[in-house]
Amino acid sequence: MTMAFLTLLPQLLAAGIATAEQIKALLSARNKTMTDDELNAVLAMIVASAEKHRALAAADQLPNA
Amino acid sequence: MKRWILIALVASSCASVPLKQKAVLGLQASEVALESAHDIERGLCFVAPSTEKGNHCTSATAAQIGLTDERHADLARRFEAAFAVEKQAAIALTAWKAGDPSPTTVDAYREDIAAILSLARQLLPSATTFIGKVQLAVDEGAAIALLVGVR
Repeated sequence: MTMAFLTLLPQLLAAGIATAEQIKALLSARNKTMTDDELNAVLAMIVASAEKHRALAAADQLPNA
Repeated sequence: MKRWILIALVASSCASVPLKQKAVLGLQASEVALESAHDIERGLCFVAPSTEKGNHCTSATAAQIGLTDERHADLARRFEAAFAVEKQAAIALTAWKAGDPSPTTVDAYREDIAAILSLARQLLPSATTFIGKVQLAVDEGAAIALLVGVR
């Protein structure tokens, strides 16, 4: 799988599908079993980041500031 | 096509990790893609997206690609709903474990981002990067739904 992935990596990057850092982090994380604490930390980051974007989207429905 | 190859490769790489981990990392991947799509849409709308916000697009590009103020506000409403339900899905997944009933928020999230994709395709046919990021968020959202048992 790894060799096939590395072969395709330049195409994925060129297509703007993901950055090298995103792909490395994703594969690294997905290849090992994470603890509940690690999973909860990821979920907490998702919550915080989603809230930031939700607030911005809410502001984009009001007159410009 | 390449997007599906990426998803297949990533999916094959995590065959041995627990179901919950797959769902959490899938949600994370979807979140990253949706945030990228949101950033791109705001970048098309505003001259200075990091400092501007509101329902009026200030960039010349917006007019050129048909991103009217009405469409921008419509997308903002959809993004707000998607990010809100994504937060709820993340909270639901914190307590979720394999074998539990599927969190309803995961299906709601899937529906919200599918609506954004539909809107993006109708309103911004020339904004291919934006559409691609939303498509990626949708694909990952569908994968999560499958993992946690949404029918």
